[in-house]
Amino acid sequence: MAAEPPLSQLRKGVVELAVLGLLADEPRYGSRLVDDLAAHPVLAISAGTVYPLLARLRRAGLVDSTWRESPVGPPRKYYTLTAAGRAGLDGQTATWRRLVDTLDDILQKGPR
Amino acid sequence: MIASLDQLSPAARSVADEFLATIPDADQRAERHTHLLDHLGAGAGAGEVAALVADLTAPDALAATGGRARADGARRPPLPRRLREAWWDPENPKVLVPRVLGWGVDVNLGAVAVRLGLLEPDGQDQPLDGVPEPALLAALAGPVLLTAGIAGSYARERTRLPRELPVHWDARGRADRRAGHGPAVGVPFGAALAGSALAAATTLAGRPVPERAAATGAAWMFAIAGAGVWACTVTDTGEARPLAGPALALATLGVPLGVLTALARAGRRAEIRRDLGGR
Repeated sequence: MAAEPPLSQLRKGVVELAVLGLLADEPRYGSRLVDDLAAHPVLAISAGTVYPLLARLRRAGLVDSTWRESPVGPPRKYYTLTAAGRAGLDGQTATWRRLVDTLDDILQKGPR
Repeated sequence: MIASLDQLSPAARSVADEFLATIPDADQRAERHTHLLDHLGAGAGAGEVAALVADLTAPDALAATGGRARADGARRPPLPRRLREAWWDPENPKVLVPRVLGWGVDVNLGAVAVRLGLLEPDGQDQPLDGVPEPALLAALAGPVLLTAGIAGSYARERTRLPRELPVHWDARGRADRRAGHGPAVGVPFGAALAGSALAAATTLAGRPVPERAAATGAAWMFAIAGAGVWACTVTDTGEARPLAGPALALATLGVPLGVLTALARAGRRAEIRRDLGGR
């Protein structure tokens, strides 16, 4: 099997953090979450990645989902962070910041 | 899928609690608890919980998945669960997935339904869960009736049928091989019967709703294929029928797609009623 491109591996590591971060702002339904993530091309996240991730986060108790009436059509399933999800987001965010600081340090000091 | 065992009826909850109380190890108990939440719907009865518990109380090599141990010691889920996971996975955008039985690929009809705009990828918390019992039973009736129809058709027509009947057609739809009544009717009837029997057995065993729905979809596939082949057999005139094969292939996939989509939408409506307070 061919090795995965490095950028793809990096993206995989941050998809969950990106989803939790967006849901921390406000509840979102699935297709809106996909659109909001697609607005950041560097993430290159597709619906095929988002929906299985949402299912996994729901099974893990980090997000909750509920159907709500929509003003412009049929009901939509909205996702929200649970208390465990917020704690997970806080933890991952702290880890991310440490990683970024460390990598910045290494890249500034190391050979180009 | 449910968020808490509190969503079960008292009888079903009692079965689940009794099972969890038999597990001394806390980590294992938590794992089994999660497994129950993932594989039960809010309408699960005590029998359904007992069936799932029976899977989990098999010898350790089988306990996590409730399936048969392979020769290499790995665990394999029961066939209806494997069918559901392969044939109806709307969250997976891939239409072609590894085959459940044998080699090759299977069609993820859930992905097809999403691409056709018939269903959202997350239309249900757990695919094919929460389908009302009347809808499940009504869906099962179709393959059973088709199977009976093949047998009834043969019983009615056998005296007027030629001694040898078509059992294979070439690419132009012309019969190029014939055999006696045994194989000519046995194969299509057997296929239809096998599918219906699997779906009926899954229902009688009290398997979880998603597995029953998937088995019913499989039953439709085999029943349509069997009935279609039998129809081609008894209406054969020796002429080429180039559209018969493609039409049958389309129906063999299209009808189960329609049935499973209808069942998924019924489950989706049940979820919406749950969340919107019965509206």
